[in-house]
Amino acid sequence: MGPMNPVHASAARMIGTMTMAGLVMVMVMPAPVQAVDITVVGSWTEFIDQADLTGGAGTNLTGTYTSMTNVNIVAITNTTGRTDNWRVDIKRVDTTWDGSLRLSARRTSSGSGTGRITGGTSYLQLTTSDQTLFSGRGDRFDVSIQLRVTGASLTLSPNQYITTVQYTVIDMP
Amino acid sequence: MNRVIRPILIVLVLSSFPAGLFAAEIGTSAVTFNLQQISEISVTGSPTLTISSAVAGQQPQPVTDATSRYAISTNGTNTRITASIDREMPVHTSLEIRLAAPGSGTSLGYVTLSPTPADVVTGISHVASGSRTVTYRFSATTAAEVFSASYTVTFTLTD
Repeated sequence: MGPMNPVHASAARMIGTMTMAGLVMVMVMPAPVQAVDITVVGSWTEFIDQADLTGGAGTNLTGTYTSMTNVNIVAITNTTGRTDNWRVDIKRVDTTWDGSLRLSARRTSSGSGTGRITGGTSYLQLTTSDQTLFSGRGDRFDVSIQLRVTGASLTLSPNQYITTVQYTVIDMP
Repeated sequence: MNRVIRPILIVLVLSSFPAGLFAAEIGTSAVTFNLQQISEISVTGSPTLTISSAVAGQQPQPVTDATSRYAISTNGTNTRITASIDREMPVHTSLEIRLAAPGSGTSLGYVTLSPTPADVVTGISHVASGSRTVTYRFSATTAAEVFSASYTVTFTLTD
């Protein structure tokens, strides 16, 4: 085959150029992700002194301390509706906590709102890693949480033992 | 010259959402345990010690009583128990005390009591111990005058 006819070569370049000019690109962007919100109200402070000895001198501390049944009030809002599934994970974020103190949480009410809520009615011992406490769908308000500490004893030195309970709501497909 | 224009349509679609795109929000609650210094000690028993005779040619034998007990609870470190009486014993007499160690700590054995607090157990840490023995020992020489008196013994758990 011999070299291309100059006329044909010119036409080929034009076709190539026209093809590049005819390229249309379309991108379908994902819809913006709607953020489900969680609101947590309340904190817990406990003072432990000699009055907490089980029987005065010679005895040890009462090992278990329990908060009010609604020491935390949780609200889940900004869902897309009663079919919008979510879950709430929970963990400790320690400041000056001692590992011998075991902190647990449980749900003591279902609150109000659309949809439903399940799980979390038995005490869950918190760690520094997320665990699912309860789940549901739709907006929920005034969900009560109770906290409990076990493991307190005279082996602990006088101090302020501080941790933060972190609740994370995760929107589910 | 023939012109051929062939537009090319390219469609790019994101067909799935990575898990990281699920929204997540956080709420927090502070938990604070204020553990105070706890140092509690209690003592039971009111012994009576009597020296009423001696072997001829010898000093009277000391008399002891081990019916008293003490109990202790502390979350402190390296604490100690001191003991004192409310006034001096008569001349030629002495009252001593010995406390059994409460698990952790060291008993100093027999310690002579006076109005100045004296260590009787040291090095006590993080302990709850009940019903530990308190032993009193009363001594007198033949030079002592006859007397009968009550004394108050004070025990203190201190840093």
